[in-house]
Amino acid sequence: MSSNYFVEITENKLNIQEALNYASANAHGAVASFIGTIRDKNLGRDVVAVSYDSSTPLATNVLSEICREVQEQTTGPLRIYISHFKGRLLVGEASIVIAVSSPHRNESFVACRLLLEEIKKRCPIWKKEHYSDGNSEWVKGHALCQH
Amino acid sequence: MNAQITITIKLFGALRQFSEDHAVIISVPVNSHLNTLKKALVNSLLGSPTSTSNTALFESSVFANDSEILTLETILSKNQTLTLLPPVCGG
Repeated sequence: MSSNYFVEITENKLNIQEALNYASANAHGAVASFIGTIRDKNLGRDVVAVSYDSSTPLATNVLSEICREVQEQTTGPLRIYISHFKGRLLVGEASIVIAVSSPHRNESFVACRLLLEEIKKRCPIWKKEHYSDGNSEWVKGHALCQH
Repeated sequence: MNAQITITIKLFGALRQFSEDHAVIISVPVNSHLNTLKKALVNSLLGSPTSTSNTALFESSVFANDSEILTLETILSKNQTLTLLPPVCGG
């Protein structure tokens, strides 16, 4: 059976058109998307770049798990595309692209938000901010749950 | 005397600063719990006394393999490679 989601951690520039193409389906009348980009300020400091680190095999597994869970929580079918960048990005560049489609709009909007929030809480990805004064710091995050 | 096994621990994110290789090799008795490995790792990397912030970072980090996060009750019966994951912040 072919799956209805695509996930990846990539060191290549994220491709928004590819995300929309994957998520689109003739039976789906809605595609919601989210693009996370690097902003130039955080907690009052001037950010010039962000480096992303990941435990890629586990991160890919977690992304797949999140897709399955969000599909289970959703009435009706979804098609989901998630691509997260690994490496260094400058201000304005994209760190994550999510595209999700469904027959009707509400499911796409809700699923897109839920996917992002779960990724932030659960996916083994870390970011280090680089500041205009030459310093760098790892961003504090969410501790993973160890059942 | 218990036989020893060797665990290679790969470090990520803020934990990378504790090893130039971003990995540490720790020996523990066969059938040790993961909790024992964590204590041995902290002793090896931080020594004593340790700074509060570094101790907190290790306490909030979890072990995993390539498939899943492991509990501290996991028993280590063979040589293997694990990852130690600090708090995450993707997106």
